[in-house]
Amino acid sequence: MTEEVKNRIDNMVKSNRICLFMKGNKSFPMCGFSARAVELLKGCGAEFETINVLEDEEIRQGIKEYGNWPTIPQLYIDGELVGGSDIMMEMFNSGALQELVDKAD
Amino acid sequence: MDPKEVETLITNALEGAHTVVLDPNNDRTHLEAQVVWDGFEGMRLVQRHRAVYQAVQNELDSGRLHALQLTCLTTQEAKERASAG
Repeated sequence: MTEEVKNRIDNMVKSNRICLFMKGNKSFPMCGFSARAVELLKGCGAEFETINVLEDEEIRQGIKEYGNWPTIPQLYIDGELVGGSDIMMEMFNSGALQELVDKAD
Repeated sequence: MDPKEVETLITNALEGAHTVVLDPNNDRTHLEAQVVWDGFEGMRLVQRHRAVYQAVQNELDSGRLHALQLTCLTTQEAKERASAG
């Protein structure tokens, strides 16, 4: 990953307290896992920004390295990788996702 | 890819892990794994999943494996979950 791509991603996760890297966008998720991630965040009443990795190949590849995480979606809260859609699901069910979201709001 | 092959990769990477991999959609690319390993103790969820993903990194990179849905538990957590029904 180039320094420029790293800086762009840094900027995205730091300027949005809750930031979801996904395929598609909030209204039109292009993958079932991304769709689930959006629904879980909406279920928590979260205000969140989404980044469509399908529109930017550099980000699509770079985010995997940035997060040391091989798949998309990826959720960042307060600059930290929370996880992908199954971690989000597990944390939603335990209430931990709601807690994180409330802290971020 | 063959769920058994994924099981072997994970079990080889995490010594002493009990791994079960399923292919619920029968498509050989979207698999589900339950990994029970005491090495997860004290690790956050994101770290547990990273540990497992590392074992199948090459397969994810090459696209042989598109997605691996994970449940990562310690022996104790697995027991608690089993008794909770």
